[in-house]
Formats: sequence, C-alpha cells, structure tokens
Amino acid sequence: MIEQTKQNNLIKTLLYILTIILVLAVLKLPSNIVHVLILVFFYAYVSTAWDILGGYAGQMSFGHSLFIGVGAYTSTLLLLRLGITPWIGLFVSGLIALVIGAFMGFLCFRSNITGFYFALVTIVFVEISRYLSLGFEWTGAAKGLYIPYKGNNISNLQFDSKYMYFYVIFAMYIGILILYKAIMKSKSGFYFLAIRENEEAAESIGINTYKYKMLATIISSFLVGVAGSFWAQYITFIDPYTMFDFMLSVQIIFFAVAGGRGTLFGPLVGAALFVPLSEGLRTMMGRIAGINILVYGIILILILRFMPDGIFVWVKDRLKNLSHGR
Amino acid sequence: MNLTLFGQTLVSGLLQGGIYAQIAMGLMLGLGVLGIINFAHGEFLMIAMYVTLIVFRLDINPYLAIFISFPLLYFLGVILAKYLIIPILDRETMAQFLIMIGLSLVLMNLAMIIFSPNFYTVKAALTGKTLKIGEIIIGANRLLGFAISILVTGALLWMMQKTELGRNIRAVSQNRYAASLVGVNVKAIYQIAFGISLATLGISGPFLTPIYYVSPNIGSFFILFAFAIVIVGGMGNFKGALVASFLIGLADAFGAVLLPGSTGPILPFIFLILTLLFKPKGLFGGSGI
Repeated sequence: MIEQTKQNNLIKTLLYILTIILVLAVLKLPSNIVHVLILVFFYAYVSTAWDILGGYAGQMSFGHSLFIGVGAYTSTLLLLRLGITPWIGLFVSGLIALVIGAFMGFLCFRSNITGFYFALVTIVFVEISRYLSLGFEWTGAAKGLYIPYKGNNISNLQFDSKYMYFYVIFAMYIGILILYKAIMKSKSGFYFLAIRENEEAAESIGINTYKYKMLATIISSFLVGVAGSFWAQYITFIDPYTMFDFMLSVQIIFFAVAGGRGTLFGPLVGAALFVPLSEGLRTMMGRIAGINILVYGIILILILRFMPDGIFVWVKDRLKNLSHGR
Repeated sequence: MNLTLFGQTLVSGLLQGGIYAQIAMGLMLGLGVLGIINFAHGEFLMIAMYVTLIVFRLDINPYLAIFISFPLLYFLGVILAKYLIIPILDRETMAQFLIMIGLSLVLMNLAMIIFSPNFYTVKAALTGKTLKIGEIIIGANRLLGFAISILVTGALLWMMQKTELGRNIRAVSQNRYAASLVGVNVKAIYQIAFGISLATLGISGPFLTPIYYVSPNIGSFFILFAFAIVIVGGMGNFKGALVASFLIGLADAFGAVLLPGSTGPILPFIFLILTLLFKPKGLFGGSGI
C-alpha cells in the first residue's frame, strides 16, 4: 500500500514536471502546433464542462454547441454594437448561457424529461437558435460577424501570437479541473452521481433531483458560455452554421465519451488523442471533405462497442491488472 | 393571409405531412420492436436517393430504381441488425443512441466523399407538371411522392395488424421472453423488422428524389422532423404518429409563410417543445404497438 502511494506520488510529480515543460515549450513551438494545442485544450475544457452535466449527473445534452454559440454571439455583439471589452463579455456570455440553460432545464426536468427526450430537446434548442441567428440582420444573419483586429492588447483579449491564446485556454482548463475535482468531492457531486445511477432511488432517499439536475445544468452552461466567448475571440469570425452546429455538439460529447465519461481526465485524453488526428487528416487529405468526421464516426462506434467506459478507464483497468500480475 | 395563400399552405402542409408520416413510421418500427433509436434513419433514405440518382444518370427511368433500392435497403437492415444492433440491445439507451449517431456520421460522410457535397437534381416524367384545383397549384411530383408515402404507410399498418408476421413482430415488441416461449424466433424477427423499417425508405426513396435535392445532408433534414413526429404522436403509437405527421407538416408549411425571413422551420420545433411541456407522453399517449 505504502509502496503504491509512493509510486503514485512519483507519477504525479513527473506529470507536473511534464506539464511545466509543455507549457514553457509552447513559446518555442511553431504556430500550427500551438493551434492544435489550443484546440485540444479548448475541447478538453468544453467536454469537461459538458461532463459535469452529461457524465457526472447523467443528463446527456446533445446540444452543447448552443452555449458555445450563445457565448460567442453575446460577447461579439457586446463588443461590436456597444464596444464592451470581451473580458466583461466573457462573464455576460456565461450568465446568458446560464439563463438559457436554466430555461432548458426548467422545461425538461419539471416534466421529468430525461434520457433520449432530453437529448432531443437539446438538439431542437440548437436548431431554433440557428434559425433565429440566421433570421436577423442585427446578429449578422447568414454572413456572420467579424471581430476586427485592434492590435496586440490584453484588454481587448487579442494577441498577435498564438501562444498567448494558449495560455488563456490552458489557465481556463486548469480552472475547470479544480472546479470539477471540488464538485466530485462535494455533497452536490454525490447527489449528481446518485441521480445518474438511479434517479428514483435518489428521489426516495430525499434528494431533490430537480434542484440538483438544474444545478448541474447551470454550472455546465455557464462554463461553456465563457468558452464560447474565448472561441469567438480566437477565430475572430462567427456564423450560425459553425456555432449552432449539431456536429460541434457531437464532438463535445465524443471527446468525453471516448476518453471516459464521468472521469477527471477523460475529456482531455479524448481531445488529446483525437483532435490532432482530425487536424492531421484535414491537412493531409484536405481535398476529401468529410474524411475527419467519417473517422470520428467509426471511432465512436468502435469505442462504444468495445470500450464502453472510454479509453482512460480501459487503460487504467489494464494497468491495474498488470500490476496485480494478471 | 388571403384565402388562396391559406389553401395553398394547407395543401402543401398536408402533402409534406404525408411524406413525413412514412419516414416516421419506419423509424417507429425500429423503435417499437428493437427499442433502438435509429438516428441514422434519414441516411438510409439518402442511400435510396443516391441509388435513384445513379439510375437516373444511366438514362434509365428513375422510378425503376425501386427494384434496386428496395432489396438493397432490406438487406442492409438485416445485416446491420445482425452485426451492429442486436449485439448492443442490452446496453443503456444513450450508448445505443451514440452508436447510431456514429453510424449516421459514417454514412453521411461516406456519401460526401463518394458523391461530393454538391446538390443534385433528378428529373422524372412528372417534373414540371402541375395540377390546378381552383387557385391552388400542386406539383405532380409532390403529389406522387405523397401518394406513395401514404400507400407505404397503409401497407405497413396493415402488415402490423393483419398478418402473421405483424403479429409476431408485435408479440416480440410487447414481451420478447414470452414470444420466444411460444416459438417465435426473436432474433429473426428483429432482423426482419429492422429490414422492413429500412425497406420502406427503399420504396419511397425513388419517388421522393425528384421532389428534393440529393445531397449528403438530406437525411438530417428529415430525421429531426421524424423524431418530432414520434414524440408528438406518442412513442410507439402508430396512429398517433400518423396524426402528428400532418400536424408537423402543417406547422412546417405555415411557419414558412407566417414567420419572418428564414425562421420558418422553428415553428414545428416550438410545437414539439410545447407538446413535451404539456403532454410529455405525446398528444395521444405512448401505447406500445
């Protein structure tokens, strides 16, 4: 036992050192690799936020691109129409995403809509939002919105080099890890798990399941809304088709499910394995449109068929068996 | 809104509803019997439409594609049931749902890689012909697509209610254990039922192709409406779904006319959300098959 704790501590220290080296190395990496790293941590962040609701509390949303879109549009419209800095926009985005998430949760959980029905409502919310953002000139309609470059300035949340964006999203990811861990250890976290495992039983021991499902929803939607603002600042162009996109929702779920639903590092494992794969396929076989999504589809089927708990858990189980000499 | 526009919208909503009905029925067969939420259902219609496109490009009457698409989709259904779906039947619903989303992505993007993301049109004998009733104009292609859809829906309902096979399918969907006790081959029924579920699309596909554009995204255009119908009508309730199809078709048609700009398609979705809010079990209640 003591031996194992020592071993764990050693692994942890090594991981910390590796992380620090990675974070410093970003300064020297070419910008296309930094771009992939930004994507990895962006998706890891969003998937972790999704996982609080979908993995931990067991309410699988298939419409989390809704909150990315809402966040992106909120901060961008605040910036373009009212000249408000994205740093404030970031929080307003989170709050508006939270309100919309709360509305969605209220609609569903009040009349006990869960499982597949909940999934469908979340998909429908994204569809409605896309048609609404397409329908009005004020939101840029089909043309979308451009964020003009106003120079390398931290108060605009705009930088002339990619690595600053990396540090912002990396910090956000560390933040969400700490939050996720805190939730796992809190009373609410236990209630989330109880609801996921058996909602009726949770109800019968006096857990207010409505309240805790709502709590998971608003935490998750707030966090993703904030990420939406970051995303808009980074790619500087948003339109209804890329923001309120079903495929984007599926990718968010994919990384969490592939890596390991309801685990701390599952979403990062999923994103770290498959974002570079997807980007690589896109650059190498860019002429074949759709090849990266095709590969996602195949991997999704295979993982769910053969590693239902995700890669992270699968590898952990194999390692455990090894150390037990089996 | 004047009377002519109202009549025109009403008619096109009903026609659209009839087409949706047939797609939702096939979806519900898979759902009712195997309990599988086939998110890739629309992509199988897409396959039938691409078969029609190929036949059309070979200078053959596109309607004749039915002789390929019907057996092909039945066969695909049986194979998929055997190797992909039956092995995952005891898994949790959401895992199944995700696998079917994966299948949908694979089929859609295969089509994109093979046929390019472009939109293609297929011209049939009736293309350009219209029928005029008073002031109301109906496209002949659309009317034929509607008629075939209603025929397929009717045949499916008849098969479920009146035939030996239909009785076996209903028996399996109600209690698979009891059905196997009285000598029904449950696995075979699963395969046949899923085969039929897809084969309905193989029948209607060639007749729907001239109405719509053929593109890799055509499946996702239909699937959300089909799910909305299944839920509004009540899970597993065939007659409820039939009524819901026309309601969703009408909401679709009136949304396009009444709502500003391109926001029309949100009307059927709002209708769905309102249904879930006030009648979570659907307007007519879920009832099994």
